[in-house]
Amino acid sequence: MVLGMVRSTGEVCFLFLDIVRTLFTRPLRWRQFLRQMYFVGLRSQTIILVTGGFSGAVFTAQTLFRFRELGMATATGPVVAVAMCRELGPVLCALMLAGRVGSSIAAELSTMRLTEQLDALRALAVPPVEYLLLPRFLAVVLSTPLLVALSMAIGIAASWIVAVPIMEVDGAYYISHMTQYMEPKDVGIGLIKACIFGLIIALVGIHKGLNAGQGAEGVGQATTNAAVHASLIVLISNFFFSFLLNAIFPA
Amino acid sequence: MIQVKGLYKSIAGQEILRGVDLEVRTGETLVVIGRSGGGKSVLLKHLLGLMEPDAGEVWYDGTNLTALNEREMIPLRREMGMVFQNGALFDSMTVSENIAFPLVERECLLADEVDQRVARALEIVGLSGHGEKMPSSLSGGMKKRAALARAAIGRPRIMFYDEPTAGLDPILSDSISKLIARLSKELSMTAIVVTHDMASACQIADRIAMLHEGKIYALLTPAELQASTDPVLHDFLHGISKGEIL
Repeated sequence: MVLGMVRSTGEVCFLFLDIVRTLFTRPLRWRQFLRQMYFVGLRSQTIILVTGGFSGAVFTAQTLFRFRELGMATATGPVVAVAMCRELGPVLCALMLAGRVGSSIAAELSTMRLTEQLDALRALAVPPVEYLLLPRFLAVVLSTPLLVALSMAIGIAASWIVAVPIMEVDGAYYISHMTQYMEPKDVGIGLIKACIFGLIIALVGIHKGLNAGQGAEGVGQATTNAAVHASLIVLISNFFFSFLLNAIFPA
Repeated sequence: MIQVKGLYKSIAGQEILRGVDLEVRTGETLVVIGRSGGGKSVLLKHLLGLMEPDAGEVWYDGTNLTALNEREMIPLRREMGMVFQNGALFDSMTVSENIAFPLVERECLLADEVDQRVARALEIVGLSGHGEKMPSSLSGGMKKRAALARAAIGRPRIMFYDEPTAGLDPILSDSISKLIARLSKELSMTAIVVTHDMASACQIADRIAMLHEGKIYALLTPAELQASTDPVLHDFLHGISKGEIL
């Protein structure tokens, strides 16, 4: 198992280097890239809006139930906003993308490998890394921060809706405290994390797709593993990046 | 044109190729026959540089393919075309887009010119009117013909065919064999065909190579094969089982 993990890590590193080298040495295939941006970015908006919105809403409600007893209802705003920007927005968005995008990339690539479409591309003198991998990688890495920003915004907006019109917290104080205690670096930390999570989702999805086993079972395993492994790596790395980024940008 | 020297390949611990030596001459149609699972498709993929051998070399016009990396292979692959066993058409594209793919990727042609060449290719392989269909809605024979059109549209110097008639009815097999012979003659292509369809092999081959137990067992003309009294060749040619399976 340990040997397998070391080998997989090495393969992912070489894959990353190959993609980066292709990015700087070969022209980008814009049509493929835009198609992937549409699939990864635009088509993921609904699930990200729902995830971010309802996470912000329920977090606000639970926090308010307790803070109200302490007479700190207006402190809910900054607590939710900071949590949405630093943790909930990036992590929940990344988990949803790992399930939707990472597994989709793995399923597509593993099926193409199984049906010899990858070999056909190579036989037609078109490197798969240039035609398939780079557009997918770039689309995920660029879309993730945008989707995370959307998730943060909708989470905070949902928080205001729950707190002010529904649970009757004073709107002026709520906004005032939120802007007072939330800093631009909170958003920056969330977006830095989003870039890293995007990288993880793309690389894991591509690696699982290219190294899938044979048959329908192989495609199924690659798809499941892409979502599960990317989610686990996101959750574990989030813990370490939280400490690292907090050290770089202290509260 | 192609020289294979001492090619060895094992997959999942099983020795598939055990020292294959073979020479393909410019302009000829060489058919590789052998039992199912005998390594014919693996050999073909080595000739195109799609697989790396454990040992041995593949030379193409004085260039050692096994020493080249993926990017260095690109100019050579532009001179090659491959028809895969199940077509390997890109399932996100229509038949026309599949056939146009090599032209769009490699040649700076106007859209009208690409359309004309695709229409001509569709006509040659008998798929006129099917260009806008997706590969998933084609029959097995139609997929193979579309794959043949895609591989040949760039007018490669050498074509590789992996089981081009497998799973097709005798009439369709015959039409594919005639198409291969016609392409080889009209476009002066060298062709390497992997098959165990003996009727097709004898119809299109200039020479036939028998791959047996990981090595080239015999290399002879169709007439020599028909006249051979060698037990391995005789049994394969006439489909005689010696009870290895039962």
